[in-house]
Amino acid sequence: MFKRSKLLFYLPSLIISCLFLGGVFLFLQETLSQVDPVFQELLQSSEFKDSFLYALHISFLVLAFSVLLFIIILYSLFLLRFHHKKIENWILAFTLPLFLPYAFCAFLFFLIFFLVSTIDEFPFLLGSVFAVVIVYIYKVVPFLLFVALPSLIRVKKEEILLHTLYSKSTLLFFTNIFIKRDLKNFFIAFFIVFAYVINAYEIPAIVGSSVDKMPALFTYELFHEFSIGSIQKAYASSILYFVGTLFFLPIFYLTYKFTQRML
Amino acid sequence: MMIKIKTTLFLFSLFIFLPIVYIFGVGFSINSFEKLIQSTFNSFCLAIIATFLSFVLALPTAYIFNQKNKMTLGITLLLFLLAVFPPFLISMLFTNIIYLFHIDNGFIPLVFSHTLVIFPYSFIFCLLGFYLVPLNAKKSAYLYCGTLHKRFYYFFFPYMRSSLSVAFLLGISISLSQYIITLMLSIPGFSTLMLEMVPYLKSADIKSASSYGIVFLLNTVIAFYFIYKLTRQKNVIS
Repeated sequence: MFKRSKLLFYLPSLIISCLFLGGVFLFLQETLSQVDPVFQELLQSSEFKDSFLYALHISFLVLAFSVLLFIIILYSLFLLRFHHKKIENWILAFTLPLFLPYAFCAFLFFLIFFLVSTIDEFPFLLGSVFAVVIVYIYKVVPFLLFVALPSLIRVKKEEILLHTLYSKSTLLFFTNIFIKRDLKNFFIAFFIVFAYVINAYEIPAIVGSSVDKMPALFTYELFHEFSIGSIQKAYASSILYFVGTLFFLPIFYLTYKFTQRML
Repeated sequence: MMIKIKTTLFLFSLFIFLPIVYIFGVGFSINSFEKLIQSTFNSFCLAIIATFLSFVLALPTAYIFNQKNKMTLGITLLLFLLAVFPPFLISMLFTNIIYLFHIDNGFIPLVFSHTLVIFPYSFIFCLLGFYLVPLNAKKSAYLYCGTLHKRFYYFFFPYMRSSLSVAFLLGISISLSQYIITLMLSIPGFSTLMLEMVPYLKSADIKSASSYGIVFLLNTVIAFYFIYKLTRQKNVIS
């Protein structure tokens, strides 16, 4: 009886999983039936490779700058918390972009770059790597702060008191206890950001370059080409990009293990 | 020391708020008021239904996982894959399903695809909500309430309210953000805020795009007002 009721609880999630996995199966069936020529053609195409390399370039830049900014902001918030100051309002202000759509954030920066381009002797920023990276930073840092929010709240008064008793530096407390405690979650969030930047469509479509195409733009154009085999190519390219992204998972895992050992 | 910290935080908040303030300096014009109302209605209908559906799917599973008190590797991997799955690929999967089941109505595939995108976040927040319920309250719920819905309503919901509300707002915001999925799966004539705004941006019609942008901003401000109210409650941040 209990097992049957347990199954009822699982049922909704099972339905959505079946829908998802069924879609993946159909998708694979459609692409794998013409696997060799399409995949080979794509892997040999310079446009496909350039697009993936460009996405990796952008993604690593976004990740590097976002992590740097994230650590600075997190450390500042941590210090405030450490000195028993209120951080709720700061957190509320910083998580605002999390609730704004990607395309809207791109639009906000589009307006600013448009304004800047009217100033004489100022470089035209729209379509540059800088434009894409800055919009992603605007969206990504609040997400990372949102992930860190539970651990920030969990810093207890007793912990701070103990730390003050043993009089170690605040930085040591921040790295050895605070960061180490949630390092796994942070790395999961970093990988989500990395994967999202590679595969997202909206931001590169609005502020990105029209020459160097991000994977989603490349796939979308293939999908709407309406030539023979272009849809299969779009399917294959999107699956290759996704698999390519997953190849970086071990690198993130090794970095996580390395950081864990270092702290 | 304190001044340095606050200056750093202030500079970051400037980076966040300046672009938002600038949108009001641009001004806005509405080409078709009817279209704006229609797309706002469609977007919010879609967002609310998809978020609600994702809760219906996530809550029972989160309840069971909370009883088990651990996450199995399978569900963790599935959630992780769903979170990193490209939106473009999701829309392609659903295109296949539409052809297979002959679902020509554009709204149903859209609702399911948006639900799939929101699901990982709803599940995580539901699980978090169940973890927020103290052990004493859980024990009392099993002792005093025979039916599940009474247990949930009287003992779990008061503790879970904050995390469920944040999840609901986040779900709505995620659904409103979807452009590529909506573009690929919607039938001609169906418009959402995002579908209307992006073409204006591509044609550099900034004032018309701003009118749609302001609707997004209003939604966020309203959402934030609720979150602000929730954070004033003791069981969220103490």
